[in-house]
Amino acid sequence: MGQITPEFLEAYLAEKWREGVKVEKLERFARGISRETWFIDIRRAGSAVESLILRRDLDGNSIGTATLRFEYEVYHRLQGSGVPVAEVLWWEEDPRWVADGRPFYLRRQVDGRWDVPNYGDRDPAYDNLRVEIGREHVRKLAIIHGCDWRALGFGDLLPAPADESQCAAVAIERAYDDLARFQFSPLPIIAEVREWLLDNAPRASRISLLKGTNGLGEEVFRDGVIVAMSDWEQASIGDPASDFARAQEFFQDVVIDGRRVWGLDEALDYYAEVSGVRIDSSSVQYYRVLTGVENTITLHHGAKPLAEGSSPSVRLSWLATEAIYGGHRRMMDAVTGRMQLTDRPRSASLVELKAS
Amino acid sequence: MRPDLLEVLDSISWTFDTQIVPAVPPGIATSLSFTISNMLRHARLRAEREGESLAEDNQELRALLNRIASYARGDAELKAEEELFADYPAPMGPAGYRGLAQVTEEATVLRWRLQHAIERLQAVRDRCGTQPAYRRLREEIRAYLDHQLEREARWMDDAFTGPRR
Repeated sequence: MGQITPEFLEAYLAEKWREGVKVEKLERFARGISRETWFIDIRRAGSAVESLILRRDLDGNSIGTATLRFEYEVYHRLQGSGVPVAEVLWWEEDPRWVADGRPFYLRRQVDGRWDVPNYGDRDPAYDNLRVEIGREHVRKLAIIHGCDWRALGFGDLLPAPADESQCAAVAIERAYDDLARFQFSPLPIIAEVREWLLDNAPRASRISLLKGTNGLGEEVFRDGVIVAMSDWEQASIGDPASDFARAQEFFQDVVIDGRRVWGLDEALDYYAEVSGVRIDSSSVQYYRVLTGVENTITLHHGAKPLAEGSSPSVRLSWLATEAIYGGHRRMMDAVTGRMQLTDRPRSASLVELKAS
Repeated sequence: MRPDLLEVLDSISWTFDTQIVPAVPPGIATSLSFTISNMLRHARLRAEREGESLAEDNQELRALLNRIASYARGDAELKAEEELFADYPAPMGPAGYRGLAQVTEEATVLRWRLQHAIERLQAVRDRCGTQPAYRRLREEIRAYLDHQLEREARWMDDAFTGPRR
């Protein structure tokens, strides 16, 4: 398979389900960057429409350093865990179906939308909406962080810190080991910041399963509730502060009548209320820097096809310029002391740096 | 020669933003057109500013690498790594006009050298970290890296505006 077509999918699904399948809609997700995502509506005889999602690597390379199989395995392990995720159907690498060498997997599409209507409207009428969405996101992060990752089999999939003092060190080692595998141009700032990261590593409040990229654009909402969490390719085991550092948009300040009613501090307070675990904002500030390193390394990997001339996508060009530049600035603010861990962390924005 | 390169790029950007983008159907094509708009502005600024900036950067980095080499020659352990800490006295290539590709290639070589030097200097911090010369060198490296980002800002800050995708 090279092209995803209705005919291909009908043949594939008919074999899997052993009954006729009609593809009614097939659409490639426009905003996706890290991998190809296809939305598929199908109908089996006498049945209602079923919505599926197909994921596969971009032609030539994936931006992410984690494999597509890893992504599938995360979904697979989260089935029945209490974390809202889509049901995964099949991993496919049979050459009969992946003639171009790109495996894929299918999962069910959960009814909902990635954006939240009016969330970005700065009209004060939507301030309470922003607070409620932020609180909903905190509740879902608490579920992820509270799940028994050993029992779910994540210990077989991911490196786990020996204790709470080792969370950052494991993340640093993982990131720099990844870089060593594929680095193709110099990154002296990444080299410089490593020492700062090791010197300033915080002790985690607990060792948790982490989602990685999260927040606006990564979750599926229906009626103000997160019904599915997606984009797990940066999942890891470590300090929950890391997920707060990566959260996009949902912990931005909301000010009503001159008083801040929501922001990262309030989100951490609410998290302590629902999870019983207190995360220090200085840890979030620390992981904002480490996240910048991890994302830069991921984007460096994604930019390799540009250097090799194999897949000169403008998306890769953009990520390898603006996003890496932004990460570098944050790293230098840390190593030069312009940014202190005691500073109030700035919540991550969707535009600023996103690797998936 | 008119239009010059920058005028040509301006005309491409203007036409793309005002004539093409509004006519693009919703979906992946529109999303990509936003990315292209930003990258065209970025390319235009790089065309204008990158060559001179990189040449300036290379000059500063070459001087820094020479100071690192000088420090390394005074340290028994680092001194052995001649390749890593050898002087880097002269610009690469012929004198006279030097194109962007050549300046970029030189920057790549110099920055690899810097990355390796940083890694080695970090590795000896426990032993050398209290030496004023070592600490000064590390500060100079950080100052250079800051300058590098300041130079890059010349084609980043004004380029990326509006939706990216």
